[in-house]
Amino acid sequence: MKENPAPSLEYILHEFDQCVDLIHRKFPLLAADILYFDHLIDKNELEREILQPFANVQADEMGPLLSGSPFNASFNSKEIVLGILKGDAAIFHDSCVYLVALYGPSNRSIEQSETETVIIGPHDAFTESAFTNLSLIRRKLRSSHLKVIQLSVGEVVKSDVFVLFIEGIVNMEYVNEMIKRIRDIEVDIISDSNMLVQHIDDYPNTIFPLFLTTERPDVIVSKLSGGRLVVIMDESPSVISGPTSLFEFFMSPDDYYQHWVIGTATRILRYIAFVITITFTAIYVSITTYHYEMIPENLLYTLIESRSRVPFPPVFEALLMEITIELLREAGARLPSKIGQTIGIVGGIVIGQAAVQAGLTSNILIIAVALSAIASFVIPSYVMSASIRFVRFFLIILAGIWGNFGLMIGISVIVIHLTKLTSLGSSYITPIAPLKVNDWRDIFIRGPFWMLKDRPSQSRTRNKVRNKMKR
Amino acid sequence: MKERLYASHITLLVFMIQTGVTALSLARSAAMYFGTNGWISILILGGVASVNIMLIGIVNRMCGGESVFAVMAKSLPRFVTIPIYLVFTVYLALIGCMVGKQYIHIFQLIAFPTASTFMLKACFDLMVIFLVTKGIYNIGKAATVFSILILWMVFLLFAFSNDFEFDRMSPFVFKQGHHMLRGAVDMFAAFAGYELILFVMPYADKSKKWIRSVQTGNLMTTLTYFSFVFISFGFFSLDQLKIMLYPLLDMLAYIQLPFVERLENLLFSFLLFTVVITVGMYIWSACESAQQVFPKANRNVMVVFIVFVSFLISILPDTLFQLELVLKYLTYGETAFSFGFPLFLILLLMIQKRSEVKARA
Repeated sequence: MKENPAPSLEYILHEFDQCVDLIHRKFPLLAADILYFDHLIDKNELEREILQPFANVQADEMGPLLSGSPFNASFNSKEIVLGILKGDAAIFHDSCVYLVALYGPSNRSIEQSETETVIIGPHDAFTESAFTNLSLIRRKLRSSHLKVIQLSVGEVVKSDVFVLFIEGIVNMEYVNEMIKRIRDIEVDIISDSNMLVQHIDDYPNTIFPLFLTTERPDVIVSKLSGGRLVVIMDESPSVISGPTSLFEFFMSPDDYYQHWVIGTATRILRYIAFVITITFTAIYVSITTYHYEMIPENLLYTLIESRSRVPFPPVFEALLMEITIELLREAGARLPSKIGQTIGIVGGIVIGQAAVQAGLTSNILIIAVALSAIASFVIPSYVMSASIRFVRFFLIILAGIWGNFGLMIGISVIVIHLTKLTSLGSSYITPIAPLKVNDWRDIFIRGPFWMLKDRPSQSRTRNKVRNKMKR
Repeated sequence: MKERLYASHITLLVFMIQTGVTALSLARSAAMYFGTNGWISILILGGVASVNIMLIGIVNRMCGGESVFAVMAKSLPRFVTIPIYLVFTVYLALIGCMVGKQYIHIFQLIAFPTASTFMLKACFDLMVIFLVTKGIYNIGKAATVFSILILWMVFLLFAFSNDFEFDRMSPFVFKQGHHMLRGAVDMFAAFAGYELILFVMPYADKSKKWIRSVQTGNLMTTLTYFSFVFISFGFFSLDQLKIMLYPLLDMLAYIQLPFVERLENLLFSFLLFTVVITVGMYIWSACESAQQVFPKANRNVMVVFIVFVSFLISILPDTLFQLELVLKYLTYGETAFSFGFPLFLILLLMIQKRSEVKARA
């Protein structure tokens, strides 16, 4: 059979051979046939747009009926196949084919995000439907300047991808670069935006996320108004925003819904949590292995008493407990929430207590490891939190080998690695390098709104001012 | 989206290249060579470095931000420039590797008496390769992040506010010192490194702020050294300072927090950030020079080769004493280079300008 022959019922039926879920309805009196997938269409729409009009016309009235809306004539077999797969009904009449958009499968309703919860502020989250997600954004951002470009990815299975930006605010260089990267993807199937993001990364081998993914519409709206662009993928609740800097992963919408003093304090707390997560266990290993002189005398007795029964060097002790914590976290994440809680209790209390009593580990290490783990969950982005936890192991091993020197070597390597990274070609460590002190008031603190006058410099927007108020 | 080295990058890069382990013994040198109120010498040396930077500024203005190699190539034949570039490469790489080795030796002295310097230095050099292969823009960015990670240490000086005594100062200036001139040259090593900025000129943002940012970097270094040395003069007596190997480390050892003490150990580790930038910039400059001799050579391979050879050379000095002696002579040459090379370039540029005028006439 030819690759793309003239559209005919036989060809389309051949294409969908052995697809029992394809519905084929025949209307012999009207000389018409309809093909569609029952589970992809809205049945009320089918009734209203096709079945009722067909019931009220004679065979000779079919021509005028099909020439109007919502019937779109199609002359391309591939387009018809794709249309049926996307939830259209294909009507075959008199060697012509018409497509009617009836897409309306049952979707998950708009719910609260489980991975990005906030205490105050809107609670709605994106769903798997791109159109629902677009509607959530449009409802919050009612502007004709919000533009949406549709693309598709996947060679075998085409998935819809939408690029969103605010005209006049976004730097079009970023938009063009993003469109180019999406068009350049040559993969059979991409089923989620978290997979898509790995195909458009500037550096695919880094463990740090180079684009922000979120399930929250309010975050996306703030990114769009800040001059960033957004990518929505159909069938994925995660929405991509870029260009991104490392520090954006430490921001939460909560910071803006609370008073700026509280927002600032919380943000600083997150940076402290970041430092604790990365270094706390490594410092414990470094000090207890090589630098006992750094511990004050009073604390030294407690530490020595605590470590006296432990037969392993601190680095093994720390790695053992860190891996245990990771096992507990992973088990908790894979299990239903009620059993997950039990795992937490069994792991946290029983194993922790038993490990100390058995002399496998010291009390102080348990505190250090638990504190590092808790601190890692303070970081709002799960993806960034996972990256940071991974980096921690690297530092613990280096601290075990060379103490403080190893720790600093590790930190230096991470910093050098970060300097190389870019997101859509812009520095990942903006606003530290390039140094943009003006941006610091919305990065390291959450300044009062009168202070947040300009859009982030990373957006490279021409329309810099976002707030003209004096206070 | 082409990257540039902005003024802020240049400032912090100069600050990071200059600042190094020499700062630890600066108070001792000031006390030994200049005697009473030796801290004033820091301001004088900072001023001398500033004058030298003005010379570099003149070079930059005359050549319009062009590469120094291009300036030399215009006036000198290749058979003359090639040996000069080779000498630059060897000399700069040598200084870089010795500075790195000095840091490793001191670290070993205070924290790891039994560890192998060979392994520590190998690890350090791997990091230098990792940095230099990223290119000058990323070195500039790394210098910015590292400087933020160490600048907070200046606030530690407030910890000595109770122990600082003006009684330890003297109304006499530069008494009880000896070999002041030789000492000044020795101490000038603490400021050296800014001359590498000559090689950075073509990569910098083409603005008039360029030389101002180099001066600001030098000012930052001078003020940082000044504050440490001044506090040391008020914290220790002159005679104590003269016999202390690293007064700054001894001073930091006095800081005690409820949960940690002997902070000098940890704080010295932070100096790794500045040393890696210093060494990285020397190796990068050596590569820039070598690239003129071997223009088609792969840059990353060249970096690995230079670091590897300099690593082998750095094995030779066994003790910290030997190493500091080698470094002392190397920095004499570097001081001569930092003044002589800009003057030489100014001379070349003047000749080029004159011949251009003649050609036009």
